[in-house]
Amino acid sequence: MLTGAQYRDSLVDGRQVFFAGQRVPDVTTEPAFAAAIDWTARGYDNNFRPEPDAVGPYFSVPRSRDELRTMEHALRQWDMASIATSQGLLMAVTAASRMRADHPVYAERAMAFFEGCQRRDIRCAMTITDAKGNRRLSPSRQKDADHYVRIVETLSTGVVIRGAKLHITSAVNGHELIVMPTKRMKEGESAWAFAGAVPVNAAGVKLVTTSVAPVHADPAAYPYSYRYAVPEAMVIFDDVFVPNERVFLCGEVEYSDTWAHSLGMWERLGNLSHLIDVADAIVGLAHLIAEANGLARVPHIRQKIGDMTVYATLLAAALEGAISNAEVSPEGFVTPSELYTNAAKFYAAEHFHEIVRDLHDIAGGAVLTAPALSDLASSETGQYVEKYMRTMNGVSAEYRMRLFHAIRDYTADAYAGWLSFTTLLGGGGPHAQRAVATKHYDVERAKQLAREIAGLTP
Amino acid sequence: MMTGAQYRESLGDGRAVHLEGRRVHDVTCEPAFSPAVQWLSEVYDQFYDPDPAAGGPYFVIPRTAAELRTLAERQRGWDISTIITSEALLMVLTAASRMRAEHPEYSERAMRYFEQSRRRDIRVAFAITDAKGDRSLAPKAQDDGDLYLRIVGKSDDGVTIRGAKLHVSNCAIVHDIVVMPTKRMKEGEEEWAFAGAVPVNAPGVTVIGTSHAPPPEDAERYPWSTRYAISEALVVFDDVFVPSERVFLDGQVDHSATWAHSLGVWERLGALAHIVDSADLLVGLAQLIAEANGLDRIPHIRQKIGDLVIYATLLRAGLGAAIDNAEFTAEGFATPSELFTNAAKYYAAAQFSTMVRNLHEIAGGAVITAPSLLDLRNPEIGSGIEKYLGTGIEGVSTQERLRLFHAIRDLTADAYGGWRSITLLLGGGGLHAQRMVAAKHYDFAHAKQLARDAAGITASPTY
Repeated sequence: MLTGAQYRDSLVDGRQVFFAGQRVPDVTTEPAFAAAIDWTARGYDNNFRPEPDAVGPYFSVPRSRDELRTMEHALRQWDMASIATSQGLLMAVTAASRMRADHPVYAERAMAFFEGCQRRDIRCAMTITDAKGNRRLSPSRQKDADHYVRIVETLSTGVVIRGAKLHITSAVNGHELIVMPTKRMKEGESAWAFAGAVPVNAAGVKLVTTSVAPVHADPAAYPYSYRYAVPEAMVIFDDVFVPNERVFLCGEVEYSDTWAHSLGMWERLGNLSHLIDVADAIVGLAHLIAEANGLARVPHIRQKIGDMTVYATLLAAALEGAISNAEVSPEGFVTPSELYTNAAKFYAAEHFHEIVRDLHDIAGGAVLTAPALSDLASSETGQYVEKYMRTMNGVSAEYRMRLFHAIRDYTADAYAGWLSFTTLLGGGGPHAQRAVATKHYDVERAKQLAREIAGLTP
Repeated sequence: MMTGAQYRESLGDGRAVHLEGRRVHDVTCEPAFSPAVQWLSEVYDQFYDPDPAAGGPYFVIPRTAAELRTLAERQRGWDISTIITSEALLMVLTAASRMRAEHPEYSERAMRYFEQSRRRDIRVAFAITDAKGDRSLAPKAQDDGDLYLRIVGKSDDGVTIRGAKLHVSNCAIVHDIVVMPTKRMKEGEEEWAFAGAVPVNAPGVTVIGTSHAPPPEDAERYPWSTRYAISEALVVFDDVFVPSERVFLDGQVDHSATWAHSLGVWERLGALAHIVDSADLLVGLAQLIAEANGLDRIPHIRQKIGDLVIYATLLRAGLGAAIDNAEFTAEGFATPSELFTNAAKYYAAAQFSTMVRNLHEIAGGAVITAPSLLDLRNPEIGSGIEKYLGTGIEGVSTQERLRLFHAIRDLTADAYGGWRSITLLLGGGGLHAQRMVAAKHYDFAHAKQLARDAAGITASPTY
């Protein structure tokens, strides 16, 4: 296994990373990436064991509903890159199982690749969304065929790919890009049916990054994002060679969406676990600020906190539903219920903005206008800020201001924009989740109940 | 009147402005304040008239519904502080008229202040919200009497005040602070019943600013907030002397709410007109990005844009109804209907986050992950970005599409977006307050009569 320090060293590998118009020669010294790299490094250190055969807990595959439940709770303590790596492994297990009968070679390669990742203790980024060009047109009808990543050359030793992928989280601070088609490819679109693994530092790979990390600001004003902001990347594959042992799909359109579907299931389940924590954190912030303001007993405030409590609880219930109704594959692997996972992810995404709005309504305008903690420390303004930002015995200015800054950072500033987008669109937007939930719902039973009510039963 | 340059100069008056733990000696050079200074200077230049008798067009009193509509249209071309100043001075006139019978001397002072401010062509900020301490307790019951701003000394020539006001928009870059009680004060709370005008640079005034202006290095990533971000402030009054001619209320609890209520009369129009524009802006961004992505014909996208259109249209209807049903003060001033204004404001605030969610779902994750325009100009990656963030759709360049993504992020999903969404939610009071005011002005008798008719109850109950 790698230590945090070894992990940091491993990122200085010649990768081509760009940020704000400039090449970043060493990602470990770029302030915009510091939070993500520090967080990942802490994850390495927390799980490090020196035995040569030791492996991280993020490389385990649940074989019972209890193991699945344990994992979904454990992953809330992991860093984001480790969670993505775990989801990548579970995706590979699921997809390999689905492809094994028709394409045993790909199934074997994918499993061998993940065994290698486990041995090397590296982190993988899921690389899915294509540039997509004109979204009305299919890949083969785009003005530029590279708008979806495609195979431009097939050699005896591997393939050459070209294209770009968007919204790649944990690429800058990870090691491998797991590339897969963004959607099902049709007959005649086999050039676009590619899945495989590409090292972040492979020749021809370029990462153009964005960040919501508060690099210009006082860390005290950004108590959460200062530690947990992660960069996103647009990844350009400019004629990248992928050797055969890393190619998991090469033109077989009938399996072109197997990878994304397998990932989607695990990613949405992981998102749901995370969103339960987010919802509980928002309930907690609402309680603390209502108490600090002396408003905890006001009826309309209690009602709003009650609404967000119900939201958080329904998400937790749906996660239980997804686990209790998990299915077991022929190989003995457990997979969560797609119906409950997607219904819950949809509900979480669809109503997230409402609980944020209610938190803002409860907390008040000082979320935006609370002075900085440095104003509290200043000899010129400190006594004023102390006097006027406190509210009562036991609620100091500093305590209350830290709450306001946390609410702003988490729900009303740059990081908050990222959080709200990833809640809404991570693992596909609500429209996609509604469609998957509908597909797995027992419509026949519902129709039968309706027939009975209407007296339409024979 | 002042030119933009004279306005900038006027800010070098020794004011005690602080930001992030340090004193700001020149607000015109501080990135947190300079966009607002620039915007306001442009408005000064736009209206400048060298005639010594000239006054800004922002001091017009509407007396008919048509004049009210014209004012709402005109406000769209003004910066925030000019709108606030217009509202503040109209508030002064309204409150003066309401106090005239009982307190003619306060009324006269307020009128003189109005005239003088118009002549000096200054800009003002409102200071209303007190520090408030424990919100479950009245001013008197707080463990620190200063948690609501109060009069701590009186002399023949004025009063001394102590306390702090929160959420004072643009305070660092205007001239006067118009102070008033945050709520009605009761018998026994006379010391907290103060209204008056205080110069920003008066001894004892400390302005502690906060800002959502973006970092200056990559302005194109923040196309809107680079131009339009404003600052907020906590304003501390540490035993500030206010000369009598600037004191408009000192202990008359019966008129303690007159000022805030008079402000409400004028603040509503600007707030609602701004919200209508904000909603139309969301529709425009949604339609443009849907077209730029080639998704404008997808059913669920069209449905979401339809929801946005209905939102914007209902708000416009609310603004129109508020103007058409204008109420007239005793002085003959036309003011938007409280019922329609509050109903529309509530609806706008309650649904805004849903509309932003729709826009985000339509636009997609590139709102957050689109590279900077600086990346587009970098020769090593520019061609890759040009290629892959282009769509091949006729008439939509990569650069334009990137600019749309950055505009959506800046306006709805970044620091300024947070400011905008909370301001829209809480400006003029939160959801609960707006719902209560709407209910107060609604015609329940009519609704109950309809219900009685429907139920076949012809007479009122007799028990």
